[in-house]
Amino acid sequence: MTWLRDVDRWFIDEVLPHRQTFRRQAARLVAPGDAEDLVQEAYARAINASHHRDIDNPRAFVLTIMRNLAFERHRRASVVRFEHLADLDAMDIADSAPDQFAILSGHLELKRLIELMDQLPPQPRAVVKMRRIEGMLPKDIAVRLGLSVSTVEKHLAKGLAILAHAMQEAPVKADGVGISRLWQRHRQRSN
Amino acid sequence: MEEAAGWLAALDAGSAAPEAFAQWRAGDPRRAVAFAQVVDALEQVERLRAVHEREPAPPPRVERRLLLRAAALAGGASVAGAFIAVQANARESASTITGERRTIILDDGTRVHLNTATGISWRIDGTSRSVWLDEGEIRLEVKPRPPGSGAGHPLRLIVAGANIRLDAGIFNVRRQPESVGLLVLSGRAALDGRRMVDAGSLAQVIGKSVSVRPAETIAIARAQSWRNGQLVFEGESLDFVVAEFNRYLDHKIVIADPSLSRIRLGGRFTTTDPADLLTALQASFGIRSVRGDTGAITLTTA
Repeated sequence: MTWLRDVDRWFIDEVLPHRQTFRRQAARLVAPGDAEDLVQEAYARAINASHHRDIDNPRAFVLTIMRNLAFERHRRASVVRFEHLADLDAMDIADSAPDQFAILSGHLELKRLIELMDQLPPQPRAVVKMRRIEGMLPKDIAVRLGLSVSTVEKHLAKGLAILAHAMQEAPVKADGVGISRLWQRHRQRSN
Repeated sequence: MEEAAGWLAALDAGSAAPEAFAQWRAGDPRRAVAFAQVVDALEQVERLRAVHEREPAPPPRVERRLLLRAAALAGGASVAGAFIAVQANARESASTITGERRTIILDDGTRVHLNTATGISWRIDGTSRSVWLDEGEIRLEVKPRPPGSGAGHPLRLIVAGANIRLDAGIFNVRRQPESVGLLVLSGRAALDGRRMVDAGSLAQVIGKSVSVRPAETIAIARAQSWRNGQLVFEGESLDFVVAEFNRYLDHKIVIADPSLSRIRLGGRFTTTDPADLLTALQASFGIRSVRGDTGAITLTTA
């Protein structure tokens, strides 16, 4: 995808897989209603990083951004409540690299992904499947479904927006096989 | 997210100019984030290709039922050596050192909880019962007198020259250098035989002047919490919070940077151990705590 800059690729591959860690940490740093916003703000800082390829540990990098943002917010706040900080074991900003399991668990569970797909409205679901799973071109999908290309485009956009939203919120199971491992297994079999 | 998905679909269909997209994305890093999240969703969907041909047979459902162990409540306050006082004509006394709490049961059945650095004395005989609060803070659970033993005698509480009569009920009394605070949790009290203080009211005695007003919720919560070793705050300044903590600490906390005093915070600390507070201050404000040679803890920015 030529429209992805190097920093976007880095962000998708190195930062997003740890989204569960970030969300858990955010829930400890700020009030529950502000957690998602803290994560998104930290993402926005991270994706603006000028030397992203020099960052040894992107996970620790984003965690540190989050912590500093939380400091700023708390210093501005009129009153800070500490209830959500009772469990502070997560304050180990973890400079060590996460183990392989942690990376796997950052991926959505396969079963959950299928569920998310099933929850899409019929037309966006059909378009997403044809485009990304069957690899059909938008103009061919338009012909197959008897729609205009721009309508296909709208359905694809709608489906992807719903999926992307749900993935930010989807709980990642602590146990179970991560999707990338399943995927590798299937690929090995089919090769 | 919707906007980002729109751009991705348009780029994918070739209907959007890459320059226009680049301009949109450059406008706000949050757009770049949303776009990356949408691309990530797209790539994850692609992984379904592997299992697309035949829908996978539902995996054998080995649903692990996680039995959540009932969280064992941290046991109540560990009361250091409650004892039964023996009856005597002379005044008896009991005290706690800094950080200590203890409960005393008087001969008439009245229960007295002593908070940190507190000293009381008392005398109980056939016709009267009196308690003196020499320093610190107590919670008094006054029992009615058993019938036939001089019924109707309230308990007399003497604090810094103030004479308070307590009917059966629960009272929190705190003596401070300049004032005495009496919070009536249940029952009724009479100050110097005149001023009545009803349940839910707080009386402040400063020298000869007395003010009685309804107690704030936080004052009641605080009075109910200390005997369980909990400190409750509701938007007080760090100055106040530190002062409250220091009552329990041999090695006091000192705020080195005056700008920190204005920070306001709330919360319930489950222990009088300052470690939680210090960790929370570090975590929420980046406030460092340094322990000096004398043991005192100094709070500084950076």
